[in-house]
Amino acid sequence: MSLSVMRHPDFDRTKYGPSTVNIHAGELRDAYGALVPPIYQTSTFYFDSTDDAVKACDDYAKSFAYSRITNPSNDYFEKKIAAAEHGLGAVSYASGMGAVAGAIFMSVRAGDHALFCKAKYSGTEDITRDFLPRFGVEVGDFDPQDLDTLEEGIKDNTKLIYVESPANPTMVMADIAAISAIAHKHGIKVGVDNTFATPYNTNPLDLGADWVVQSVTKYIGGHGDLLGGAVISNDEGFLRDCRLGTLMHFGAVMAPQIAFLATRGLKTLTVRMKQYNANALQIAQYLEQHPKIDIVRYPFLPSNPQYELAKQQMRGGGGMLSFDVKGGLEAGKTFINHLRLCTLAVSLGDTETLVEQAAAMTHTMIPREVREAAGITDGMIRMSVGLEDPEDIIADLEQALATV
Amino acid sequence: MARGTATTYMHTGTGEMCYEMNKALTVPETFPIYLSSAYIFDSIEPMDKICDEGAPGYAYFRLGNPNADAASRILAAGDGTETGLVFSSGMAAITTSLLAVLRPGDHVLASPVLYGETFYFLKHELSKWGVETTFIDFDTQKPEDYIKPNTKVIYGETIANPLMSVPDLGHLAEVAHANGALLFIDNTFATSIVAKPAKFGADLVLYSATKYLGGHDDIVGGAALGSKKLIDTIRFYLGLYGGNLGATESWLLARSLRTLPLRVQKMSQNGLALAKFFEQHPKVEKVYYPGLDSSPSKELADKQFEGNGYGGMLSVNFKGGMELIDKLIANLKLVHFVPTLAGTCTTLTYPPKASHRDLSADELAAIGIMYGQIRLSSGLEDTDDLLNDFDQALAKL
Repeated sequence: MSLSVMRHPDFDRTKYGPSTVNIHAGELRDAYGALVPPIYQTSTFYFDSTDDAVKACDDYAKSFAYSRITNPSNDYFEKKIAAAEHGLGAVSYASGMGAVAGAIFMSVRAGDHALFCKAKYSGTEDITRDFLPRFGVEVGDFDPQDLDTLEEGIKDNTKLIYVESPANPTMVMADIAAISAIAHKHGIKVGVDNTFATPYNTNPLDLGADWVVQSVTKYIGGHGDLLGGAVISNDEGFLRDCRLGTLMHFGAVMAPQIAFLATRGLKTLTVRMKQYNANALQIAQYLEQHPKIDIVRYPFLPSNPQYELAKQQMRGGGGMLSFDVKGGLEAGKTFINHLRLCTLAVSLGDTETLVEQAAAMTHTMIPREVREAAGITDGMIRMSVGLEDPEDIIADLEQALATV
Repeated sequence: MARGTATTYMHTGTGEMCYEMNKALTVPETFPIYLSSAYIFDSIEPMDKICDEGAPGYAYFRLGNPNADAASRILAAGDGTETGLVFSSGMAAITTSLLAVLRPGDHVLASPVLYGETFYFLKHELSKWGVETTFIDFDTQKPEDYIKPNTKVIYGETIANPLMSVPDLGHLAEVAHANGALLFIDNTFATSIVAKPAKFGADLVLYSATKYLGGHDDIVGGAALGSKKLIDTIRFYLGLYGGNLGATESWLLARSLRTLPLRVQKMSQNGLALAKFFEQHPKVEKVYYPGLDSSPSKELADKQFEGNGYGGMLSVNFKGGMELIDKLIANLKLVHFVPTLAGTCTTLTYPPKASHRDLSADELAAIGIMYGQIRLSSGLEDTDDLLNDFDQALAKL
């Protein structure tokens, strides 16, 4: 599908590095030669004749007719995120949950069974516990650290295996290649939430995943100022289903202004991710040696039981880590309340460092026993390491830990 | 009394809601966009306090806007000045600042190797208002020999466009201050990541924010940074001439500045790699880049720069003229001819037809601009991809 006139019609992403791809893939040539394409703040598109209108409305996914289906600003963003994630195409959504829900709804139907990794974002967890069962979809879970639990969980009617890697907030990784091999042996599709890793660190589609979801709100947008999501895949039929089946009906459409900002974020993704990888590793190492810290979970720490998998599947360890302050929930609260530079806020992937207590904030909707089974301790602190100078972040952690 | 329908639609959820938001338990993590042209006063007293006494608060967009202040605050902190202002373009920043401090009969001492429109303004516009400018080559002529009792401003660029020469900022400041003049430095090509002119005594640091500061080719803006006293003088003229940066633009500028250190460092790495590549290429006559050992500016650059590289701007003279450049532009796949610089993608421009098109052939020759010359702005691409693109384009010439 090519809705717009491309600036580099023969751009082949496989011939370029990730920075060049994010900057140059999908570039458009508009009527005025604008280096940055305009924001198409329009709800609808006119036709020169009823014939053209019939043609356009005959296949909403292949032309611009109405912005709930697609819009040139979204199309531009979708081409870029698709190239970044090594997919053939993408569908943009109003939020990460719009994308997660949309892709799951298009993968299962009543009577099917789906398997999810144990620890995951609480919104996704809610879909598995509430929404899917209500509509007749059977749900099971498995531990990505023990793929026997996956094999055991597979049923005749299993249609989807869904993982986060690394998972929110436990940082448990899923071996995407191994899981995809098992799934495909049984004719099951694999969906991966690649929000924590980002396409700079991991390319799940290259490892066998059938589709990838991104909360664009996080690292892709990267500045804490937008809400968005995307589904990326090599399966054009699936993407068409997502566009027509979920955007058209549920209407979780990304606004053109947001598509513009998300594209702007994507252009600096590589430089940002390199810095996040470096900063987070340094901070993980600092925390690990601190006597007041119980445990640090970060993919690129040699102490991580999944270190080898991390090295194999990720270019860098990413910007997310979680840890427990000795003394649990109360000690964690004291620590957080004394931070000066690091900000107490949910969300992640911003330019500034954000911390939160998962059990009390992002994962509070999940019952305690389910949280604990998934490895989410009450005192767990999730940290989205920012782009500040790492010494400044460490100095802030040091003075806050001194108060515990 | 119940409000009528129209009144309900006019007065619900408008600025008054901000009073409610002031009582909220949380504040937004990112700064909101304040599009409001004016502010509500509960009584007359705050008007006096805000307008006359500088109390916190805003009255009217042209006199001050929170997003403009947020962007200015980041910029001033980065450059190490007391405060700053943002403008609707780099030229608005430059001209407003000059007009704020100059009077008929005053004199300006400037390098002729300046951004084309700055040169034009000094030479052809300010002269109409009775301000004379003497242009001297900062590399070969001594400013102390040309300064006059009525010199009010010495004006230069940290990395001069387009030959990438670096002046001795400390010496310019010394000469200016010894004569009661101000030193204005356009730091657009360097940014505070590469150099901080205020450290060397510059009184005013000027920017086209359209370039590195904005950094994504999607905003036009400018900035002036300096002491509170000087900025307050300029602020009055900004209010008078009205070259204000819009709220959305200011907000986008602040967004961009979060990644300025990362972008400029990467662009500097690419700039040096490109400069070295061209320097050894048989079709190239000369490369102008302050980071090259062959550059006469390298010593001053090393003395004055922050250790984050030499920026992303370089000029390349090819063995050929306009015809060769035209073919090169056609052969390039990734790099486009775009008359701007410092966006995320590497761009090429042709000074005789773009930034310096207002100059005569003689004026061009005088400042070393050739018809076989391109100016490059290195972007954030993977270095090898850029070198490969130029390699294949040059091979076809």
